[in-house]
Amino acid sequence: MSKAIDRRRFLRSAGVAIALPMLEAMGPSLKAATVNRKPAKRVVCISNNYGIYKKAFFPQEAGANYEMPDTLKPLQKHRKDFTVFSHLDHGIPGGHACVPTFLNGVRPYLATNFPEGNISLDQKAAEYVGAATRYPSMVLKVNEANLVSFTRTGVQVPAIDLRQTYRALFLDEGPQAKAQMAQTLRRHTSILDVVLGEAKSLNRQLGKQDQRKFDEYLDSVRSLEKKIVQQRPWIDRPKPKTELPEPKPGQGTETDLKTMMELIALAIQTDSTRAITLTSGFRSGDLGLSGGYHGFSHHGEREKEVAALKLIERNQIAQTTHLIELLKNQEDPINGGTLFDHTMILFGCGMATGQHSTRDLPLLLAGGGFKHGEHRVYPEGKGRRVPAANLLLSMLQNFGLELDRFGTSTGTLTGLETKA
Amino acid sequence: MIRTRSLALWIVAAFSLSLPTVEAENSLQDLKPFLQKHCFACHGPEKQKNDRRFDTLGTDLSDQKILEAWQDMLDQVNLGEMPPKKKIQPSSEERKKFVGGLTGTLEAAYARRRSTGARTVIRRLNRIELRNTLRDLLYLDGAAFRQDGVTRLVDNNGNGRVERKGNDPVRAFPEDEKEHGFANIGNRLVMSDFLLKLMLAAAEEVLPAATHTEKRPAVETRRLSGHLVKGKQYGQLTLETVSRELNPGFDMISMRYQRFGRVSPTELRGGVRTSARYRITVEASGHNQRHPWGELIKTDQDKPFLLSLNMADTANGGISGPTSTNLALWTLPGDGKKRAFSFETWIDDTWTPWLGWENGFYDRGFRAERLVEKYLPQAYRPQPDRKKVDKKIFDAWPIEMAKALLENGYKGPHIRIYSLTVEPLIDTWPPKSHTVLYGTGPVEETDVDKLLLNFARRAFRQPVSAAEVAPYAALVRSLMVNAKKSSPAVIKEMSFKAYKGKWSKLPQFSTLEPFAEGVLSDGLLDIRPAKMREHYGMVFEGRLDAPQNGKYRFEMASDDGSRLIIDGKNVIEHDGLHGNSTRKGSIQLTAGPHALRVEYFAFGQPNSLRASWSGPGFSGSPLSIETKDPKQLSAANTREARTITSLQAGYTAILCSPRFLYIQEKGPGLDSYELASRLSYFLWSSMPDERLLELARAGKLTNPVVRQQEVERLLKDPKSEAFTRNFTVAWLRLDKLGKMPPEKSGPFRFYHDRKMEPMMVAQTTAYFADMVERNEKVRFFIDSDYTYMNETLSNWIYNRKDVHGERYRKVALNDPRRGGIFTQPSVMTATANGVDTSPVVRGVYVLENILGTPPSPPPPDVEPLAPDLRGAKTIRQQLELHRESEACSGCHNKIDPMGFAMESFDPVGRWRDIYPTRTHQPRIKIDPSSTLVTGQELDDIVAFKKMLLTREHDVTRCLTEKLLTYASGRVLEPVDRGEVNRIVKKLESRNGGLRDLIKLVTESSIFLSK
Repeated sequence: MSKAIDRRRFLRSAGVAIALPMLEAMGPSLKAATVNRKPAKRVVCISNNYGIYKKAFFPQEAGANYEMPDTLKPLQKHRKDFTVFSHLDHGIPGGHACVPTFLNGVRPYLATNFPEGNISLDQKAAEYVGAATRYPSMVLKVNEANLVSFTRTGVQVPAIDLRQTYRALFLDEGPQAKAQMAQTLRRHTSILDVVLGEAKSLNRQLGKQDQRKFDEYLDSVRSLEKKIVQQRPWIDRPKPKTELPEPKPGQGTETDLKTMMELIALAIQTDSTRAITLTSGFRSGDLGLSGGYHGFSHHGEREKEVAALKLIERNQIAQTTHLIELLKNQEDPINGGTLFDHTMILFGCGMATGQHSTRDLPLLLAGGGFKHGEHRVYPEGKGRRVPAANLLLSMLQNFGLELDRFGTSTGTLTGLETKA
Repeated sequence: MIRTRSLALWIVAAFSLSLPTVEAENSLQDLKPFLQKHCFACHGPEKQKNDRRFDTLGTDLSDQKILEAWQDMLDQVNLGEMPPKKKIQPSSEERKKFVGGLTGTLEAAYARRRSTGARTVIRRLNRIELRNTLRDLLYLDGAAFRQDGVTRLVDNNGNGRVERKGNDPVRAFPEDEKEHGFANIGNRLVMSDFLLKLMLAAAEEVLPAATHTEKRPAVETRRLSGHLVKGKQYGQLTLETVSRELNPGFDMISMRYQRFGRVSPTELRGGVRTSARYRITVEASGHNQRHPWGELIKTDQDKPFLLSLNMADTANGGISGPTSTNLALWTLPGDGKKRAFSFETWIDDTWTPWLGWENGFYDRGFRAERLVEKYLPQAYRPQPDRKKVDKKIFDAWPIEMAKALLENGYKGPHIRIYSLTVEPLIDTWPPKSHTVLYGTGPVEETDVDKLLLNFARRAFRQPVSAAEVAPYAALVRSLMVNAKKSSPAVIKEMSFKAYKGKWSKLPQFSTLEPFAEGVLSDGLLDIRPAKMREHYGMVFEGRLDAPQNGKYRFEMASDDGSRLIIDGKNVIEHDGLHGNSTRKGSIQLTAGPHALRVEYFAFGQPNSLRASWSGPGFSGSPLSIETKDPKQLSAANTREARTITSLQAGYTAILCSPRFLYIQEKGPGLDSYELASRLSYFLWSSMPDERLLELARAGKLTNPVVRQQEVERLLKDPKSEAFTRNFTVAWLRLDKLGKMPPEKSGPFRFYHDRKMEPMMVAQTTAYFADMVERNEKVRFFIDSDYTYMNETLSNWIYNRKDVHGERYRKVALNDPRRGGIFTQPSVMTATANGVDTSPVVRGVYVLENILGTPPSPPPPDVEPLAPDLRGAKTIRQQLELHRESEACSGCHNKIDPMGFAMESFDPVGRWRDIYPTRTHQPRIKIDPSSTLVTGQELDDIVAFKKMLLTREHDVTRCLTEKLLTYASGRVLEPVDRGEVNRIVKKLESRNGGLRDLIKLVTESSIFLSK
């Protein structure tokens, strides 16, 4: 492991410097990872809640030499490092109700039909990472609600905003609060022991149908106890330090999203987490536009609204590009290479367009060690369509999971390969 | 009614679509001839195109794969994809029969999968129920627990600013999982570790809030008299201001309130400052109800004045903001007699009372000078020309005119407010929330078991034995033992010296002799060891270890003066006599030990000293025993404090126990305890009260007479607001409000500016509650000659100018379009998407929630309508597609006509005759007419409602199903249909109303069994 990391290289383009990252605060898993020679992968899923304007997102031509569509123009110079997928979707109707199915392809009310419920990609990855990082996953939001992260019991994971993210990553509570925290966790463990005992005796008195439901409670207690155990060693470890000041919220669509991307890059660099989802929105008045995101998404092909929608989407892609560049510029202390090589970035949405279509979802994948550079077009015809969940399965396998099924997948995504 | 064969067919089709029966199951066999004729050739023994084979396709629909195969087949036929165009096509009749039969069969199969055996699955409390239960369990009060405090993290910006702040213990809880709009369906609600963690946090927040170890707060009765309002305001309020100058004894109210005109004591501008129960007494008189100035001041001289008492949160919008809550409405005859009015209520610390004249006269341009001109012409002088005179003279003129008016005897109608008294009603201390947890008197270790047992009995809503509480008691005891260790000292080697003296600034302590000194082992600044209340000073010294090199920020708040010195340098200089304002200072420190010295003095009471520090990687770490919360002591060493803290952990465990979080029912028939919970969660969304639990203990709730008495008692109790609110929201799907609200800028901006969303819900809830109270017939949901309104709704939705004030009151309607509940703005907004409306969406709504005949879901491959709004196509023209395609028309002929009549209401429920247009676009008139599948033609909403009235039976049946769902916590299944019909029949036979229906629901077998 090279200690001669040029810390100043990181975030140079943003003009932000970060003090010495996690080498001192290295968790045990980092050391383990270098011993096991298994690369530590990360995944970032970026989304919005209104789909995209298809004509400006999907290239006309398939293959490697497509003309870069308007919305994707910021990604021009990284052409070789990302892939656009056409004609993938989850095969379910439902408009806005499908936004939460982005990372699982399973509608919440049908979750019981699946062995793992409607667990989302990031939560599955988080389960795999476990206690290796301070946060198994981080569910983030900027100017919008984040609806895409689900646990295996079908609960939507609550999202945190800019300020909360910064504090989670960098703010230590002070010695007093840390001692209290340890005490609190001990107390909670004792409380959970008592209620678990009570629950077990209650369970014996329940009928079969109730027992099936009540399993949720037993699972919850065990899961919470496990999380407390995982969290315990992290209390004493100091959080990484940064010179980046705490961001002020409400600085506008562009700035807020940019800052969040920087925090994501820092989170990855400090190995605070390896599974991230982010949903961003739009604040009326920004980008020179007056009106709401929802209104623009119902453009009805009117010029003004379409132009507005394209501006919003282009900003999202531009900030995604910013993230890619940040990660490309930073060496990966665990794996070697750059952070970008080992971080998958997925941009997309569970609903395809503002008109509530869920056919042909916008899906764009960058980094992570895959072979990129093409516009991959999958079959359109009935009976030949490929589930988008196949892409998710490929990503999870790349992440390190030994898995042959995820949600509604029928296999991994044909044509998507990893570099040697 | 057109009696034709097609009608019969329609009835059969509708019946089979909504009532999958056992017979329909066998129809898979009946489909064979169709399959043989049209499908087996390519999907049979010879060929299996696309890997599909139907002749050997199983009929066991409980198998997911088989079910999916049949569903796929249905979808293909529905879309017209199969049989392929070049093959022989089935006739229209054949296709209809096949689709109808298969749809019915599959629906039955889906229903069986969803089935819970027509039994309620163990049901966790949802967050509203949790909040209410905590409120009643701990005898808490306050704005956070009120019904209209809907917990919603309105955070569309993601910047945390718009989140609902406050004391609501469940404010961080996510939305509950819903089924058909109901948030209390046992099978649907999910328990997770997130939720459990939130419950732990909520318990650990609410239990200390219920604990009151501090002294009884010294809140005096405040009698504010003479002038409540200090300060001068002109414009519309010139008359009131001048009156104050001339009349020291009272405040005058001459007009109804709008933005101005609310009378609130200036002294209570920041709120009443201590949360407690109060009695508010107002002395007032009304004058000149009959008056000679009717030409300019138009009032109804026959009616006495109405004075309203309200309160609002000064920390959240103030007295004209959204939190304003009406408390009382007093009738004040305008006869000049002084009267006193009182009202008792809980008021939170930041809330303040205000008074308003509800039915006063209002004219925006009203000025005193116009009255002078007309009625006191000898005193009148015309307004000076601003160009000719000095500003001072110009501004003085209206004041002079007002003076003239008042000095000559104001003959107009007005109210005089002489005093407002705010009297705390803290008769018991500590309050009940504390004594229910710790008993009265000091808490001893030996009390632990008894306290836990009593608490558990109420929290678990069932009998509990001492043995069952033993694990909790063991937990409490083990924590008491561990609590002896205090948290590590922050300031090391800390000592104090105390001095006596009367100073107005910090003295030279080095020249004085201390009267007491000692060691502070907790390592925190603490002024209590001086055991003085005034005229003393203290010096603290110790060692502060800085974890690393860097800048450290210190904060100190002291009453009176103080100084913080590190390594001999003054970091905070906060000398002098003052209240406990905060001062900050910072200093660069190297890692390692530093000498800390804090000097402090107190002249008089109150005295306090509070400090904290922040540094690289941490913030807000306390340096003093006192923290911002006066009740929180960072290191309480007394044995009692340890017992209390440990007991709180025991209570937390009880609140996280499944016996608290879940409503337990053994079934099949429910016993008295289980019935007590069913009744209270149905009608109060909360736990059973003492009386219900007593009756349960005595086993009396299995007696229907007793039960019905209780139902009546529960309905009469104010806590039944929870029922009228939560059920109305669930039934009418008002949970959708706020999911896709109109834009903040644009034609509907008033929706946000006027904060109309909660008003719309309040209107509909008031309407429902009124129907419960008067036992009104169900048909009044469909249509009526009245509604509920407040001023904002009447102005902005109904275009009326005759409703004044923010209270909701019953208003007569002379407009046949507006009666009933189904076209109220709440429903219209919930069924639109904030941008436009859709007859399909509203049509589906009518079928699902009003008539109870929900349509089948659309086939999965159908692309949703992508409206092209550039052209002049109306939604009607675009929906023609539904009629053209035979596959679509089957369902859409039933759906679309139900929604067209409502096109007359825009996305927020206002009436409209034309669609909104941009410039250069043709104006398109709204055509609300439709033709039902029966052939009946409806011209507009009035005709639509008439049609619904003929289907009152269906509306009643649908409402009954919804009530039963809400009351039992489970979705109804086909096997329940008989019981539902029986209830509806009984109601109709006695020509009963809504209250009767509620009672029939509580007597039904569905309610009385699991």
